[in-house]
Amino acid sequence: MSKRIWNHPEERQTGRKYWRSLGELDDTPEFREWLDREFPQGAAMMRDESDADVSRRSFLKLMGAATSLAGFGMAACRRPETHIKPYSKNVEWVIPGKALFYATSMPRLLGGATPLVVTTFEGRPTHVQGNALHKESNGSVDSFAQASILDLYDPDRSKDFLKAGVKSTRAEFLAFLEAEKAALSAAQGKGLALLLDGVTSPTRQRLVAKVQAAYPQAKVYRYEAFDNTNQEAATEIAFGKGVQQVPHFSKADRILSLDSDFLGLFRPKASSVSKFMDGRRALKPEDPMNRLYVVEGRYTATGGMADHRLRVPASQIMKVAVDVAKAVAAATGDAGLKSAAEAVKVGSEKPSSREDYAAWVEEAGKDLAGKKGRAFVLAGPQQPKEVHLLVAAINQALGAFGGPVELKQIESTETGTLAQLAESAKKGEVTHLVMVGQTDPVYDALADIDWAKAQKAVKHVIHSGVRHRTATARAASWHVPGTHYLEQWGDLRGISGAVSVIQPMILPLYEGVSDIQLLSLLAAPPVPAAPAVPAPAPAAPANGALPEESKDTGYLAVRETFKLLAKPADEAAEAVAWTSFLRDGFIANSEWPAASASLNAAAVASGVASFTDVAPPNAGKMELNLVPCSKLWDGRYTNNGWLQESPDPISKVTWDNVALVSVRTANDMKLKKSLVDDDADVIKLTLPGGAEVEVPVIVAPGHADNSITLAVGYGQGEGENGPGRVGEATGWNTYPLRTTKAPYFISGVDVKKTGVLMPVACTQEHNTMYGRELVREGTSDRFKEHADFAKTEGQDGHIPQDFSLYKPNDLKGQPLLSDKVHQWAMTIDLNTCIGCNTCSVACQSENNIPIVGKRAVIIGREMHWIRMDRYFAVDLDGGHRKEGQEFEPGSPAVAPAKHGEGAEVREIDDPEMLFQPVACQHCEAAPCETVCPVNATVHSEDGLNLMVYNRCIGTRYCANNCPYKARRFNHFDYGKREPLHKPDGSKDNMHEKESDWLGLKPAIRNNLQLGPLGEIYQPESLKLQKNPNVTVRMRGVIEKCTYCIQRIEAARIDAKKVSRTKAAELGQSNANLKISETDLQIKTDTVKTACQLACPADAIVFGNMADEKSKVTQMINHPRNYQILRYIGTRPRTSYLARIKNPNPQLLARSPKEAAKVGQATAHMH
Amino acid sequence: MAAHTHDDHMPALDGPCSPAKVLLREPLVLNNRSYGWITDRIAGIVEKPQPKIWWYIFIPSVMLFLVMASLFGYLISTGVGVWGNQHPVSWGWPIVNFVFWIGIGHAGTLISAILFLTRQKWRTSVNRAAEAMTIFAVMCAGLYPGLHVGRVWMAWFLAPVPNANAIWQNFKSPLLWDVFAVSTYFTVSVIFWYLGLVPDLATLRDRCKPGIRKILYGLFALGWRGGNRQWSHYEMAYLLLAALSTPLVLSVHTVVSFDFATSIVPGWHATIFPPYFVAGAIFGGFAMVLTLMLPVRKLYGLEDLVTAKHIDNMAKIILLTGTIVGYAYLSELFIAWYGGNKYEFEAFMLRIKDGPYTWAYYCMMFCNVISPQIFWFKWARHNLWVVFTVSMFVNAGMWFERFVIIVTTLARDFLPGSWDMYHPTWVDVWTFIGTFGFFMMNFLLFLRFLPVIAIGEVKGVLPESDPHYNPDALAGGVTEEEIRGEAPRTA
Repeated sequence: MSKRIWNHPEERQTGRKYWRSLGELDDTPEFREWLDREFPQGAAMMRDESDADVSRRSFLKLMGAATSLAGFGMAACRRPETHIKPYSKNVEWVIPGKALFYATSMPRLLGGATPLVVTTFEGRPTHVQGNALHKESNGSVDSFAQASILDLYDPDRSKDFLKAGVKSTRAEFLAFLEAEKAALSAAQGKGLALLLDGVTSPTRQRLVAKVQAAYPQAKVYRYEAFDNTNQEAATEIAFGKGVQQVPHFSKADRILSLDSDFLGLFRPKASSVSKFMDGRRALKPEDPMNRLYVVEGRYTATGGMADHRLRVPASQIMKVAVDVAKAVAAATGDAGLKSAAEAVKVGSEKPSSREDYAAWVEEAGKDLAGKKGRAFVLAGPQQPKEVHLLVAAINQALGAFGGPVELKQIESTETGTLAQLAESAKKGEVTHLVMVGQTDPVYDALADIDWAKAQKAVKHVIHSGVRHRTATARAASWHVPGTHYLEQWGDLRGISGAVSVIQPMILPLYEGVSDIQLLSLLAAPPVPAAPAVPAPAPAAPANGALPEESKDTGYLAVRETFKLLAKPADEAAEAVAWTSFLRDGFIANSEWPAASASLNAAAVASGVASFTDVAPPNAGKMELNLVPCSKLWDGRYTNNGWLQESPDPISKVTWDNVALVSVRTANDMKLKKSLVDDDADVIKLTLPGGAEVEVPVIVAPGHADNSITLAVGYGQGEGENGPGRVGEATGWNTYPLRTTKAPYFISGVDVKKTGVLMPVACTQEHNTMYGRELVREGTSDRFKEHADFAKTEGQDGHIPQDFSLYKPNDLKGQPLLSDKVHQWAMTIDLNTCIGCNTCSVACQSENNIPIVGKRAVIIGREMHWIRMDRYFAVDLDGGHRKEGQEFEPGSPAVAPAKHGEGAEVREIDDPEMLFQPVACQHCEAAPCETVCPVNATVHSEDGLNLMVYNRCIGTRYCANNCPYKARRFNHFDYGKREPLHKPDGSKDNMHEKESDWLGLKPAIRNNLQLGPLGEIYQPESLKLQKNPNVTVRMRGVIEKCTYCIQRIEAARIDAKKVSRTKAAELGQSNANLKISETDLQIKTDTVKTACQLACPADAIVFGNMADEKSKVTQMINHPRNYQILRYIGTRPRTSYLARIKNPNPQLLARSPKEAAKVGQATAHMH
Repeated sequence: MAAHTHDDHMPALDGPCSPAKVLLREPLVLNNRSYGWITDRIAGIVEKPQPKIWWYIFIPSVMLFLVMASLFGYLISTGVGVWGNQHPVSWGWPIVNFVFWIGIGHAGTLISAILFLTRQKWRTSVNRAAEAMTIFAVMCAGLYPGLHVGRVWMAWFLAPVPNANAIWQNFKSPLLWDVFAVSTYFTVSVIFWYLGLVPDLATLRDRCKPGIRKILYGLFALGWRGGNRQWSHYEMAYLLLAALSTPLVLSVHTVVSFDFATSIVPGWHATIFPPYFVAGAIFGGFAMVLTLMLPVRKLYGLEDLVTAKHIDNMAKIILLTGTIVGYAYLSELFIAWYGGNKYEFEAFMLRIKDGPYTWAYYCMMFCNVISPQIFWFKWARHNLWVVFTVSMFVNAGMWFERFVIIVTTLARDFLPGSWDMYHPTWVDVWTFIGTFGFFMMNFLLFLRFLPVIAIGEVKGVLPESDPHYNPDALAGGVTEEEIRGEAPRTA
């Protein structure tokens, strides 16, 4: 149980200071160490309160509080008070409440970088956004990058050096390292192994080379649980060493994805989505649109965007690839492709049960071939290298290389794999293993490598990382606390080779050592004998920062690399270049050079021949897909509350990994199809190798039949052996199911229904629109014929002209607007929204939105201000919707409105998937405003629907009357209480089904329900993340999207200053200053909301509709623009742009089913 | 009571001319009870020790009241999250229970005011208890909106008091109208009830031995001596208050219904709500009066005062208002279909078919519309077990009505993406049960300390009180039952 925390006032920094010894006055690390040694109990009192057990002061306070409470009971019952403390001495550059922005970048999962601009307040980074200056970025991020800032402040992150799990010190570690270095140095580095993660950093590469130079026999290995090795291997066969394929989506008109989620999890660059969308923004009806074909086993963001989608189990993708290759070869007459396609040995079974399969593949192939030079095919990293080889052949035939697919010549280094390392470790060849980066192989290595055993065989395992509560760190002999990327120096190479900077936003919060510092230490020659008592560090800051000399190593190393990369003329030029490197965040023109390689057709043809096909899965032998989690990736974000609670874009499940199956498979297995009562069936999977797992299962429309998708990354243990307060006891560990033979998809899996039910926290229980025209959709042809088709769909086609008794103009005919220069509005383009949730996480980060825990999500109390509604457009009765079938409570695929078993479920195997982000719509005639009895929600002059927290008493009437259900209520004090723990401090094991009493939920579930008796405690570090310009809401108030009013107000203040400057420049005296209203207008499109900036597809546009030049005005006047629920007359300021699909006319002509579906989600609603 | 002559019913003239027989009006007090008997019987309830059963109900009621009080304490200290409220059902059981209790609080003032103005003399035996019930029910109701808010300590923002913020209430909000309507109703009801109590308090004072009781009764009797001047002033004041209360009977539930009717939620946004809510409230209120009076009358031997005629009348009102409510339910469905608004139609379709709470709709339909139809039969109105059972059904049915309106509607509104199921928690359930304890505790204390029947008024409806009272003319009268050849009516 974590301790009770009593907050003392900060120690005074000025004035008289009392001390008991010179050591105390200095408060050096040595003094603290001495204190620890000499007075183990007294030392606790000197440490931070957060480290203290029960200190004398807290004991006295507790006693005093208990006595006074016993005496006066309610005497302590008063309204909450908080204090704001000003600086007593100003810090240079820092104005409280004003943000400073710095460029940096985030190391990416599959290599590469996300260029970032980080918002810092008073030295605390609080929010990240993309760096639009960077070529690989459009200024957007993804949810991993957006949420990564929370990891910096994670109270469970690594803080101390650990020696075999026991707290140690930096000095002790250094002494150990120097001794071992000396020994290793003598042995030429024999027995030394370096295990790196997938980060592509020039400095790291340089330092690794230095280590190898210092210890010639040392070996270097690289490991990521999910990587791109299949494609890399294929590229090497096809093009030779050191070649990298870089896709350019803006250069393609036709794209075929073979199980590649390039818009979702496997985004090559931060700008990929935006570049892809640029080809299909459909701003004008005559604008050309690209066309996307997707073949995949489960719905992904990419599949949702597809114009034509074919659901095929992952193991059967090769069959589709071969058929497409044949079609392309026939259309292009490419002999090389034809022979490559024929060289693949595949079974004769059809990969899809669709009757129009042959037409689909042929037409797709023809269509690709018809756009030679502007078409290409992508395969997912989980597909075997033979698929990638065949794809390379297809791309060659399509003339993609040099066009939409660029070949780059990269600097590659030889590294071993984890399997090789495990083998030599087991043989006893490795005595010293240094693990650098964020990987956790004991947890996530392939099962048959048996890494845990291999790691045990190594005498000295030095593990470094931000997380110490991992299986690998626990098994290591030394753990070195790592730094978060926001606290360290570093550099990165993106996929196209551009070098980006990682610069620290804050001093390390704890005793962190970055990967570069660790490698520098390793590369440095051993110091003969570490002094017994290290010399006192000169003026080390009291907040536990690194001593000066070790802090510099990271910086110096990066700067040295920079010198080598930027090749400046002289020292002065170097300083200038360095400054611009820090300011812009990247080195211009540092991309990899183009490769001169060409496809080796013979190698491809012989390469694909090694493919071994498997039969399509059937009811007895299903296929299991193991995929990285859309929230936790490989599991590294398990302790990140924002990501854990962010619903999976497709399944909408939070906090767990659940198995996904198709509607038909669920029917065959008699599984529960509805999540309306929050319980899901548990199934037991038995793999051919004997591994087993039991997980809950839910229905995922559009999933391939007899196939199961299961994410990894969960089930990392509980309590002391868990990953921390957020991640413990969530989901199920599925890594033991992965083997070298079948790391991604496994055939022949036996699946049984156990009959057990388990609660699953799903944020959306209903999956169809029930015939309501919410996400409007049309085809490109319809758009051309009838550009404003979306405006008259559904009920909107029938509503009479609105009229108001209130006149919009005054007697002189002037509009009655009190603010004539600012009227805020937002549009969301559903044509480009991929449903990725990044907006939701960005909003959480910007607006201090709490997480609530799985139990509360089950009840329906999640707090997200912007939520992502996901609907499946149900294809009824074999593609022919009947008149009058719009409203069918009983028909939706996943949720038959009747509860429980036996309800009729129609086959909806191939639905379309649509997304709609919904936040407060800022209605001009807001229904919430009229019903609030205390005027807590009112309208501002510039058209915002305001929420006055101080005035709100929490009647929740506004939430009831909001037709968009955009208002959220603070049911508890989430800002002050830990929502995830039970009263005894243990984690609320959310896998257990709640015991029911007459259908009622149990009394006290967790700490929140304990009220004043519960723990009033928020980890101190989490408070540092909060945006100081946004109130942290207390319990009992409603909150909702504000259009980031804090950003609007900041811009308004700036505009006022600008206009004052302007007036001064005109030479007017203060008394004569005449500033017109338009002078005060904020410059067009300069205010951007957090969600807008984060959106990778640039789907969200926010701006001033009173400004004719603004982008939002254009989008409002766009023919595709419509408002949801317009007939109620709320006049929302947020409007949507209808989605356009660009189907292949030839395919539609051949497939009536496809014609009835693509772009037809709302066509029948009239 | 005026004697009637029925010339057109004269017997045939062929026989000896017999004197005309008077058709006797059904007496409101049976067995020719005297003034003294009435005073003794009613005052005796207060003066004698309570029967054991009083204690058997009182002690659990107090315990339930304490449960309620502690759960409200828990709520205030911890947060609204202890209840089942969520998104999209931001109002759950608390508001269901609020509307339920406020509805019950309607019968009392209706009986006292409207029936008084329309000269329905049968009201006198039941009005006191009904008014008491009203006040206690409104107290239970008032707890909910006050305490369900997120920040109870700021609930005073609802009161139009000048404050430093210079922010007034939002007078457009039906919730604010509610605050005024309910508080006015409560105030007037209490004054009206108290005014009616004054003569009886004086009676109790006069019968007391000196002591604390005498002092207190004396204090509250306000020096009542029963003089003519006092009576004439009293009756004028009573009449005026009755006239003042009458619109309140209609206004309170009308305003409560505005909480729903003025919103834009499909299933709430309907013009039929005000009359439908008022009828429903009278319906539920009378059911609760019957639920309480049937045992009280038996327990304290008041069969001569609260007679079968009273019960019969109240059963008829339940039949009437139940049918109005049924009509309202059906016309809601009709308008949902006829109105052509898809969302409204779907909201009602989800109530009656395949919705998550369809069972609640049919519970409501059975309890409120079907079960009272038995009162078309006289035997049913005269069988106390049937009457009691139906009144219990109606009590439950009216709760289900509010549940259907609030929870069903909110759980399925405009955007299917935000639909979610609502489940109450144990705190919801026990708080609601606790309010019954609070209500019963108050009612039992009322029985213990105040006259349950208005002594002064009941005496006013005795035949002897009629200035034209002629015992001889009535001596040979016949009753309706005798003419019909039915058995004489007994208690």
